[in-house]
Amino acid sequence: MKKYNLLVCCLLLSTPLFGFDSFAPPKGLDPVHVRVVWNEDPQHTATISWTTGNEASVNQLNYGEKKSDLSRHQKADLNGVFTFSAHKKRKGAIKPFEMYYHHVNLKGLSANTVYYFQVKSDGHASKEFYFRTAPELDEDFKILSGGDSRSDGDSLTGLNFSVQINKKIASIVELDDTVLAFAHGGDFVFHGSDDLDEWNDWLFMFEDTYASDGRILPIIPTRGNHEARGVIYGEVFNQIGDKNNYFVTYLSPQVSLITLNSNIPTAGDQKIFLEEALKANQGKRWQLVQYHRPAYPAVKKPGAALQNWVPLFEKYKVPLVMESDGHALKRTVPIVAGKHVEGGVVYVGEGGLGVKQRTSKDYWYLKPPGMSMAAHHVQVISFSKSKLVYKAIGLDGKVLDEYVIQK
Amino acid sequence: MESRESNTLVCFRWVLSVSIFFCFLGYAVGTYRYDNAIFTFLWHEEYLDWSEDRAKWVIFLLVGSTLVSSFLGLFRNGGYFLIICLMVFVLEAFCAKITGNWYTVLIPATSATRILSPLILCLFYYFQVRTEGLNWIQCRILGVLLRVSIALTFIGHGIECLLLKAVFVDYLYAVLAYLPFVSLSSDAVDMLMRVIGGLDIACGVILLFPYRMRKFVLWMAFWGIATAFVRMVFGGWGNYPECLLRLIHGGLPCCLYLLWNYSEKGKYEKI
Repeated sequence: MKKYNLLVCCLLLSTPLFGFDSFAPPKGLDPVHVRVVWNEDPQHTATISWTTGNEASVNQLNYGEKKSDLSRHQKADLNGVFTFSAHKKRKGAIKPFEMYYHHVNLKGLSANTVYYFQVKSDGHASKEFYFRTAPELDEDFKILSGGDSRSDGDSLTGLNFSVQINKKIASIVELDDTVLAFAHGGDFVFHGSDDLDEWNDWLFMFEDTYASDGRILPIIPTRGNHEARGVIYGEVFNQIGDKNNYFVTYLSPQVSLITLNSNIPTAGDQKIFLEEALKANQGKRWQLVQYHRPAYPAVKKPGAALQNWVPLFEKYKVPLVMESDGHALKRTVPIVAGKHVEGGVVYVGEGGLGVKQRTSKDYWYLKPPGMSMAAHHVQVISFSKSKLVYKAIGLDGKVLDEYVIQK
Repeated sequence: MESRESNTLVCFRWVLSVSIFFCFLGYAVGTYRYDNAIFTFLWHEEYLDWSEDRAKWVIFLLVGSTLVSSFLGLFRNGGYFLIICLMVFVLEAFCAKITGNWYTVLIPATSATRILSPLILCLFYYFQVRTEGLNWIQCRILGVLLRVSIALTFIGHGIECLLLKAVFVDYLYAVLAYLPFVSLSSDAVDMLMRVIGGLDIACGVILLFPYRMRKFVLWMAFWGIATAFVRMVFGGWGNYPECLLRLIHGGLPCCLYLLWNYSEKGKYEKI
């Protein structure tokens, strides 16, 4: 009998090591998962979003341009309950729960201005956060970029690479106030199309990217293949009912970032949109593109972007394209018409925000002066009048790759 | 008469075995270039979480053995090795179903020709060892297996068309680009995709009726081969593994046509 007791004790003690370790769903009305989402006009608009465990009758944003002076108020434009579903693999393990999203669409903001804000649901207030709007003048700034941030299945401790990389992002933000936003290349969670519990984990883990002084990096989201066509993505990023999820973000008068959706047909309307966007912004100094499934992959099969989008990137001389999905770090040589041509399009990324990393294939476009390796990373892209500097930063803060494009 | 019958069976055997060999050749080249669902299942942290090297070795052994087996399947004496191909494709479909994230319930159906074709060829060789030709029971068994595998593949792909699978829509745009006088809006392209899907499903269902519609099966063979080549129309010559993998969608309807021709002439005197 003693032997059995010992065995039961051992099993109970080892449960945290083997069991799925996730954040508990939010409870009550205390606001959590506070995030800022950017879409087309980050100089003058932003979406502030948060989550509560219970439904509140009054959801409000207090904000202002001075710290602790949140004299302006706006009620949430959109409130609702997240669609609960659990992936079939985990259905038995996840009890149904409710959590509520709240989105405030701010308009008429001033460019290049710090906005302090606090969100409130029925009197339950968050702490004070702040973010900076994009510049209206031609100024130097940086953005962060990366993809595939989903958990590596480990416990939600420092061992988890998503946690580590989020802390790295926070440290970059704290040290450098010229970093404006975070362009996420998709695959936020593993069962992204249908598992609210995993989204809850991701949203809590995203809180690790907050700087200690309350600064939040606005996120520019991309739909990945793990989000598929699920509805939760739209509920998290205030894109409910938007089946396209492609748009242009005008980061400054001279910099635009086009976000595409590689989960829907790359031809047809999306291709027309891309061509029109590239044509309209042809005179800008830097036009960048981000999407999930790579045209020049490090590991997997090329996506349909290769046939439908790449010729447009080359026609309109896009300098840098951010891709994800492959679970590696890569930078291709400059490419035009499938060949190494100086001044061509450089493809970077492949997703290193948390997923297990793997060795790249031996493709011609990854050989020096291109590069590839298996390493978790976040990318820092700096824009200035004379050059664009791309850096991939590893978990330990070391620069894993650096590339400069002169204008 | 005897020689005509045996010629039909020789054609049947070669069409089937060559289609299978092409299919596994495409699978092997595709895996070498881009990995496959079994690799994802072995390597991914959500599943078995093996090291990359270990997973690669297993994949090398599995895919290498299917390629050798499908080659041996070209010869009567090596037919039983095709069971390896069958098992690997069952495993591939299982892993694709588990690791995929878009209507994975359709994967067994869309992979039906690939999974069942080694079994059909294996049975054919087995029957041929026991009797010189094929008796009516053997014809019936092979016919049912062929009908079911072709029907499932057409129905599965048809449903994917109805659901507007993104890459299928892209294929359609690529084909339409070769027809400069045709200019369709995206809604019209979606509608056309659904019509194609509906036709595929109808073809699959009709094939399950117990009638021998020869011209209809020849149409299915043409459509299967055409949709395999669409992969190259879209992705260029470099996409040949995708095309090779799917030539069997046209190969099996051809085999069914030949089998019907044989059994109609064959009088089943060997029973």
